[in-house]
Amino acid sequence: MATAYDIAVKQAEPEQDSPAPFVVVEKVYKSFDGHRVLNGISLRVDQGETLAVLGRSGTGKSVLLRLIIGLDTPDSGAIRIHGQAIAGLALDRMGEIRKKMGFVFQQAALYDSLSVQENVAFPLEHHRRDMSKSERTDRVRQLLAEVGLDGDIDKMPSDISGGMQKRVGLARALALEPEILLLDEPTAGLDPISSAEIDELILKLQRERRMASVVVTHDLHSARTIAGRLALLNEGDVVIEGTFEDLQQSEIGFVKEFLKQS
Amino acid sequence: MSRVARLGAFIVATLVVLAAGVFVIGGREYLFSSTYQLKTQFDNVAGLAVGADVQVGGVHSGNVHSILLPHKPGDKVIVIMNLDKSTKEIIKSDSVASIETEGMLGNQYVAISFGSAGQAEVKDGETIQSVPPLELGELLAKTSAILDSSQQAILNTTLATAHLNSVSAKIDSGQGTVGALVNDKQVYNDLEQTTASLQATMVLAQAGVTDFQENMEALKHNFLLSGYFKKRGYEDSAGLAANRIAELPRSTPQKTFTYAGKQIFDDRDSAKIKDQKTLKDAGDFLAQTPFGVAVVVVSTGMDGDTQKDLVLSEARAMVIREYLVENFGFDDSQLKTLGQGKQAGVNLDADWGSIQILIYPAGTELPAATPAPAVSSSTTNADRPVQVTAVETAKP
Amino acid sequence: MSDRGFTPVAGLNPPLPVRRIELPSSVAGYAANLFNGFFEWFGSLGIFSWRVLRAAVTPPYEWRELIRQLDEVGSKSLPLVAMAGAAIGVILSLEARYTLSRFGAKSMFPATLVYSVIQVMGPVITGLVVSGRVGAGMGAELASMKVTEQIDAIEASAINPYRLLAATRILACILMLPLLTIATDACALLTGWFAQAMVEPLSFHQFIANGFNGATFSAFLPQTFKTAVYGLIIGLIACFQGMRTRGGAAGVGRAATNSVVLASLFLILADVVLVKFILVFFP
Repeated sequence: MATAYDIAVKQAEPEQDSPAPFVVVEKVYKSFDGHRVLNGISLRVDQGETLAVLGRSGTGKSVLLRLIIGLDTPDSGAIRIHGQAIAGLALDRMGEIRKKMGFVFQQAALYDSLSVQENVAFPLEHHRRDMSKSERTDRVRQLLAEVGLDGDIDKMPSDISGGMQKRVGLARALALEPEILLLDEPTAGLDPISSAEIDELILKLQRERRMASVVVTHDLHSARTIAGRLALLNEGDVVIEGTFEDLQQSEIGFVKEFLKQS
Repeated sequence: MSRVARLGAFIVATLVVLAAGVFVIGGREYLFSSTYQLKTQFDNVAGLAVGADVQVGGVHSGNVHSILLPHKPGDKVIVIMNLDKSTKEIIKSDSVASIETEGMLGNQYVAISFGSAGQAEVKDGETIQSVPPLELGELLAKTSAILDSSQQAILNTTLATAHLNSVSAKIDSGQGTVGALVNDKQVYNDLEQTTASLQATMVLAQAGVTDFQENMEALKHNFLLSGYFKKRGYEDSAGLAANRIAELPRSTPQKTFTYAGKQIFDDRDSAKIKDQKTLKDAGDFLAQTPFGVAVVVVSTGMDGDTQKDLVLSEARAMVIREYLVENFGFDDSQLKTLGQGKQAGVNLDADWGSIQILIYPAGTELPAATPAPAVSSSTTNADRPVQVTAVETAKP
Repeated sequence: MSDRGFTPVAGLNPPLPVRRIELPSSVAGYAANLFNGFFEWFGSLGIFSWRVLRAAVTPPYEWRELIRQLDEVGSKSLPLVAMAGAAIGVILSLEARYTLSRFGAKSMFPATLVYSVIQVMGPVITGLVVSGRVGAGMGAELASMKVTEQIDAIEASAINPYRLLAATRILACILMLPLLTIATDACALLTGWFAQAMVEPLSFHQFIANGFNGATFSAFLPQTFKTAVYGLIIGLIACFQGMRTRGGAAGVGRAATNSVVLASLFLILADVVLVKFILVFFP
């Protein structure tokens, strides 16, 4: 069966009646400390699509996200955002691209010297100078409302729970209306109820904004909920890519094992 | 206080302090008061630096603006000074600039003397007179020379002191007689006693001597002993050298009387006159004719003891003189004796020696008298004074 | 448009363990590793400095952050620096009085104090004290931001962390150090005068007049403004060490310690060159 990837590659060829895919990962290799974490993998994500990248913990899934947003560079291969190869771009040029991307870190990575409001306002203050202060404040309230945080606008990150921190991180990532959303283990460390809440939230945002999303997770259930396609990584290779049904029907041993344990 | 306000306060406060510092330094550099310039010239500025003090009457009134080297050798170094306007009233055209040092080793500065009243005021850019600076280097060279000679003096004094010290040390430790004297009480006591007894003895001796002399005199006239004296011809040996002269006067005698010993004297080795009448002619001449000096010259023959013959000749001369003095009237201080002792001559032995009376004309100088070597009393070691060894001290 | 062979984004993460030349089983091997590490450190510092410089001169400028850092480095260091200055003033005053009395040069006391404070002690003490406070503080702050991925978040938000974090801090250090030095000098002279005046009557006016006797701008101003170079060293090393930290809490501690130690060391070494420089150009 042709994988979604194969179809996508065909689509990328010179016909070009559909727009260039938002995110393309093309034969990327990456090694750390002599240990290869990505072994020439290729992926693509389009507008409105959510791709879940699964695999065992510590196998380089997070590295993939960092490569996409350009925080690391691949040893070889290319990453394209809107068809633009990002390898070797100058920082400010890269910044232009990044303004259209949102990244939610595994630990939320909130600025601990700033309040919740200031955290969310941070991208706005830097990139939306055209907005007045009150406009920005309104926008922040709006974003926080979207992620379900209303009353904690002036609290410091160290004063709120992990789940709430993730919501704030999400709100911050959405501040500039990104077209691409990258999420690093959004439900890691959360209890099942909170995880479900986050999943719901992500799903809702997806429906509303139609962003191209890449979610890195080890939580199969969460992946199944929020993602249209799933890619399973093992030892640097994409073992399988497709819908959840595709995974369920796969004969590959690792896939079966993964499904069994999740 | 808001963050920005606090920051602003901090910045303002420190800048105020900085400004204060700038004003203090600038004030000393006369940035903020009006100044005028004066020039002066020196052959040598002895290390004066640009920016150095300029003092008028000891008061800091300006600084050195620049120092210009001359363009050709022989020209002077020009010093340009900034001076506070207030000094214009006291610096006149006869003010003099000199280069002084703060303390001994401090910085150089320019001192300007007050001008005299009535002189013209100085104008901006004018040149005033200068005196050359005292260079510490020259001063040090002179001081160095003085120090060198002082050092030598000190060295010598040190040596002298060392010697004296060693002497003192020796004395102290009882070496030498003085040492014994200084340290040994016993010696001192003994000496005291000795001195006392010596004094007593001296008194006694003195008495004894006088006594002895009287006795001797008496003996001489005693009929038992007088024969010796008579035979000899004279009693008293003391008179032998009384009128002795060392040599004959240089001028030519006006009259000479010559006699053989035989004619006058009793015996070959006697000074007793036997025939006095022989001398009458001489005596008369001396009495009647004015003369300067007259000398009785006596000599003996070659045989016999030299010393005895010398004594004999002197004795004979003395005796003759006495005879003449006592029997003829003339100034006896003009009559001298000269005993020549042994002389070689014809017939001297046969004649028992010769006698000459040489009479010199008036105005002849008396030759110098000699001390009496022939008649000397022997001295013993005990009488010699104690000697202290002295070390020659070098003259500084 | 891309800079060939220049990967700015990856530079915040230093190369993982230094490439070993050989196992350090011998002294030569150990020395070789040491040298390699040393040169690598300097190379990275150079690259870092270049990026900061580029970021500093290109807009948009981070004024708010700069003001925040000026306050952090300047006004918040004032109490510490003032105390250090006051202590130095008393120490110098006591020592100078004793020594000068022995040489019969008591009249030189004001000048001794003024010159030694403004030319040497003020700048160096300020530099070392600020290096401790600011170096450790900045190093630790940036290090913990690094280990909690906050710096990555900044970068992911399309904001240049070199501009936002490093340039502002370094510039703040450069601008604030001279002012802090002036504060130290002032406190030291005040307490120095006071310590002397308690023993022998000496008016402040006389103290200042005598102390600044014969003073020129070139005797004092360069020494005060050379502390701007100290600020550069402190800021640069603290930011560099902080932003390349790895390894959690231990890494943060190491970053803070290294910032202080290296900044202090380079500060003193730079002073050697600076003093000579000043003597040559401001005779």
